[in-house]
Amino acid sequence: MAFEVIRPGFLSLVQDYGRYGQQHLGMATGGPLDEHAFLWANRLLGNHYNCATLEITLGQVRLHAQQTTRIAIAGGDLGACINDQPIAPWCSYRIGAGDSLSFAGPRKGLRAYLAVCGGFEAPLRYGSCATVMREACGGLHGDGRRLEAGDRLGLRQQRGDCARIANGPSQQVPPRFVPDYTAPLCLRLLPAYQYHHFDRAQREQLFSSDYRVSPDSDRMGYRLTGPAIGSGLDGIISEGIAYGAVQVPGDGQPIVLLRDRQTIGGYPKVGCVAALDAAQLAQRAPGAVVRFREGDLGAVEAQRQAFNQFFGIGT
Amino acid sequence: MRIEPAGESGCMLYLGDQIDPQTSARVCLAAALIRQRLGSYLIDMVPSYASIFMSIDLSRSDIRAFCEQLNAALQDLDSAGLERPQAVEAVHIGVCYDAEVAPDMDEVMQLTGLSRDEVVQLHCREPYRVYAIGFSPGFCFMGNTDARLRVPRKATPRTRVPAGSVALADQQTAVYPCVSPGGWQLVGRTAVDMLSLCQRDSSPLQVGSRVRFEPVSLADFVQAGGRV
Repeated sequence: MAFEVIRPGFLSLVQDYGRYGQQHLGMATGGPLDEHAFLWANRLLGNHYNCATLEITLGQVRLHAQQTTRIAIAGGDLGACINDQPIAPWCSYRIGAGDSLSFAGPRKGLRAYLAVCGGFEAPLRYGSCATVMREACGGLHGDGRRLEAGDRLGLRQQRGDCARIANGPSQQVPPRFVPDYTAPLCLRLLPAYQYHHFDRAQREQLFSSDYRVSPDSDRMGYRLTGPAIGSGLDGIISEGIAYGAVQVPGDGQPIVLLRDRQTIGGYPKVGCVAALDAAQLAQRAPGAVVRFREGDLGAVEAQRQAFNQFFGIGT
Repeated sequence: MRIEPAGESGCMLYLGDQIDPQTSARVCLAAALIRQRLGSYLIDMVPSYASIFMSIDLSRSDIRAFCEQLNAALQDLDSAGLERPQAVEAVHIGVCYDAEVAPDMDEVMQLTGLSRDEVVQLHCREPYRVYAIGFSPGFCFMGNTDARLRVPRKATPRTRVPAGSVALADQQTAVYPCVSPGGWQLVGRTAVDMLSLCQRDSSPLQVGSRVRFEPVSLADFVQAGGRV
């Protein structure tokens, strides 16, 4: 066993890269809300990209290490400490048996990814251990529960080199890959779905206004508040929903749909936010201001392909 | 037929703009063709009433190239229809319509002017087509219900619909496979596990499948593992 959970925090979930190939059953993919940070956490340890991590939202977490290993933290700065000594995110660290690892609360960003050498152990449900609480699926016990006090986190694979790299040099994410979660965020919107039902004035409204992250945002979707936009459509025939799709219900307030979204839905959608921008959105707290601009499909896709290749996605 | 990107790694195929068996049949045919010819590009495929959403493995193709291949693959769509396999038998699902497990039966009787027996009889009379699966895992949207059974959704959705609840809304019917919020009218309950029907190896419940409800007694419902 690697860690005992002393305090589980506000919302801590076991997440691998996600549950794919099951959406035709109505099953959400789950997986990390900020995949950029998730992938870096695994990469810092030389883990496979799909290794299970802990997605820690807002902090208030305390773990007790039971064995010496190496961990990496990426994503939001939640005031992490080893034995109450502050440690910075986007780095890997040795942690010794008997050490404590804590996350106080958000300083920058909302979610931190804790990876461990070899990945956390969790049962696979439909090929993945990604936690989708609404579907009672995945996670440490396979039943969709969030982390609880007293839970014990094991290692999936005691890699031969884990003991050695535990004592090896600390790895750090090159600064150019470390996002500033406090910077203004402009989401690239790729026209799709019912985009053409939003007339020019409505689109201009969307692309020229500030929207604020609503406190009702969650893993299903980020709700934004700002000038209402409308398509004139009451509803549509329910259809499959892409990650990052921007749904606009009758109140005209856009919702960016994320990992735990339903697989089909009948609200009009104005397009899809570039997936990597949606990951950045998930680090924004309620009240943060975001804007939209029209994205270029070719450019977004090329960036995504390079990203996938860099992290070895699909291999 | 319309093919459009949906995000940088997704694609939408639209095959009509109606909820009817003909459009749904085209969706099923297209889904089978896509699985057969382009399956290796797919991460996920979500067929629905009149469209198919596909999530694409970008390491194998970019979106525009995939859209072109899809367009070429579907040129045969209408001729492929000739080779359509014989319609499979309907999946039978036992439903208990007793008052203990049908909290909205009185409201449905009031809205439709039908007696309880008539509601049950109309609901069980014809097999339904599965038009889409979603909302929650194993939730099948089925239709069309008899015009006399059409009722609106509840003004205030329930926060907790019991698992197995059999429900009506507009011209559709469904089973809530697990506990969830929901606004449909609950007229019965089944002990059948819908999600496992969707996953079984031989003739799984999927878009295009046919489902027939049949009334069972409260005793049989409980015997089968149903919960009151």
